[in-house]
Amino acid sequence: MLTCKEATRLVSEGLDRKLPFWQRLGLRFHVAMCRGCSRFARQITALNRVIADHYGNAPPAEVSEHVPPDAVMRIKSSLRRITPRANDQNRK
Amino acid sequence: MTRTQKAVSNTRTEHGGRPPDLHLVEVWVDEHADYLFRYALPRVRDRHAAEDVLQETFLAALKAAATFRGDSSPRTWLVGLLRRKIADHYRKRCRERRDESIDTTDATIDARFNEKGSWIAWPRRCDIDPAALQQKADFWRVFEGCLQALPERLADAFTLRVMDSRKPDEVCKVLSITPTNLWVALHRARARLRACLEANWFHSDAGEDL
Repeated sequence: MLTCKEATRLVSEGLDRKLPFWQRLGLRFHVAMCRGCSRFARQITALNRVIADHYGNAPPAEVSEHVPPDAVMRIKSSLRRITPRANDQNRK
Repeated sequence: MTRTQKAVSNTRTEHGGRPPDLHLVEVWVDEHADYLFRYALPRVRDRHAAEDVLQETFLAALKAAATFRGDSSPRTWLVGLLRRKIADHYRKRCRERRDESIDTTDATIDARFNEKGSWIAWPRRCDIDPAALQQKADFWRVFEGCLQALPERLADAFTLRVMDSRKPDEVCKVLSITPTNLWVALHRARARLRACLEANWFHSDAGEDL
């Protein structure tokens, strides 16, 4: 018989790989009988999906993070540094 | 010398004396840097690391600019490069912390169970409505705070596997861990994140659980 502690571990593992048949069966039986584990299972399954969807899509517009201007300058000067022709032009 | 480097050095000078590839990538920096920064930030969880990863991405873009054919938008192409640079960042971090192993026991998670392995207190009730959550900026702020609070290796594993939906064997390769270690890390990450959200975000309308 699975304990709740083992069952929660298997619920998570089941999101990453197909569990062996008997393990799957034992887990389903346990979760059906156990209110704590069924909540846990429902919550982490839903979270897994909503997080994958959220970050799989474009970063949301309301996140108004900007690259600091000095970092932009640094990036641009590093680009010029590896461009042979531009080297002479931009070096002061 | 590679084909792309040759392409870069052979280019005629235009755009105020700058080679066209350089000009193109500089325009991309102006147009897409903020977007890529927002993409990288929750994944590397550190502003300086995000800036470094961004710089690596644009350098790679300049080296490979000749291979960009415009079948995809520049942004999609840049995100592809960025994802590779983020994976490199994890790889590097992982080499630096080789000694830091993934424990099989976790006191934070184990505290929820008694010595027989049963719940001491059930998880609080919370119905998660995916469509509604997408719109809730405060949820994502809390989530990213919880992610930041995880031990680094757990957060890395979770980011690659769940946020980026990468395949388990790819995640194992990036982090140089075995599948068994990965299942343990992901379980610990999920259980800790769930508990953190439960404490900081779940609004239990049940009031009590028993």
